[in-house]
Amino acid sequence: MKIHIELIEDDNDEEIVIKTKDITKEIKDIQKFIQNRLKGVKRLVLYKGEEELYVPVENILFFETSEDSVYAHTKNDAYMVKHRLYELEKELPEYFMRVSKSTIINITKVMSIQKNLTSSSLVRFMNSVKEVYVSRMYYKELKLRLHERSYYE
Amino acid sequence: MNKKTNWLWGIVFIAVGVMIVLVPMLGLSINLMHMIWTVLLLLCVVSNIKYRNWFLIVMPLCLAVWINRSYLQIEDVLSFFPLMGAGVFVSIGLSIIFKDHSYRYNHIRYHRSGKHADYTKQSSHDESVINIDTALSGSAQYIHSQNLRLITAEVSLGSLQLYLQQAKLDPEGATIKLDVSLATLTLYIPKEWNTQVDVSSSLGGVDEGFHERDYNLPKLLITGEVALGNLEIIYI
Repeated sequence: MKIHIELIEDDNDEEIVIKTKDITKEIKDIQKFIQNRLKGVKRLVLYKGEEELYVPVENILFFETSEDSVYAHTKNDAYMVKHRLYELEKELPEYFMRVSKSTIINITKVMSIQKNLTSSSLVRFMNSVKEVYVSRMYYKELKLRLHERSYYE
Repeated sequence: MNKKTNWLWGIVFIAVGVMIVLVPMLGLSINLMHMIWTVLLLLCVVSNIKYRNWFLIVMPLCLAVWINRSYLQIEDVLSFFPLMGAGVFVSIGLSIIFKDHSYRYNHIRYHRSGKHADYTKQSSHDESVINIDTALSGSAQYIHSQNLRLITAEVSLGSLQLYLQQAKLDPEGATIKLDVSLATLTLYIPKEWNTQVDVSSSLGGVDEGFHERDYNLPKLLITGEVALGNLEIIYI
């Protein structure tokens, strides 16, 4: 399959066209991948002290909330977000998923899930010491989404 | 009572009600009064494990054993007063080894004094005084306070990860008071912090990674006790 990119004039609409002889699983996967990449916000406005930052959402490992505030965590840092978790859930790309009452994670950054004797399981992220717990209610769906993760990468 | 305890008591009472009807219907040879008392005594035990009130854990167990002595076939082995006496001595011994924390009663007094709003406020991870209480579950907490003075963390029958990477200490210093029983607590602390660990452990472990601290920074004192559990301090 060849990949061909054509530059167009500014006043023309952008579109992606897939020319195929048959709609195979591969074609569906490509379509789903492109749809997921195009859907959802690309950058979020985050706050650290007096500073306002524009961070690509794919760099965010997870969002967590405590009492009054919502924080976005990257590998080594954390920033305040001026949205509620339920608002973020609607705006974020599909590779973000709620895993508890107070946490939304980026499933493309998940390294492992460790099942626990208590009611929640532990999620570890790639190249980070940060961890979050998945509540029992969301565990099955998370496992399913992780198996489908190739669509987002 | 919190929501979890309400559910537990509710379910138990419903189950006892159902048994009262089912036992005679099914012709089972169970003494209903024995069963009811045993359930109530076991509930008392379970609800006091968290607070480590050993008297209210051991004595109800002894009473439950006494009530069910015929089923346990120990009628000829133990009599009432020696069993209760043994329970008293065991309670005292356990209370000496593992100090009991009647936080339940302190907590009620705190509520009655009308400081409930402050207590709730202190639970926020942005404040200078933070209280964390974890039981029978796993939890990861990220502290964002920019003038941290005190964290009190109680963990029992579960695990807690506490991250302090984004926190800043009060210039006067800060303290983390721990109470870990039958649980695991992991602290993630910036490696340059001036951290001092003074934690006692009984049948538990304290693992502290190596770090070179900056003595010019405010001091963080980690104190408390670990019983039948583990405390791990990771410097990042």
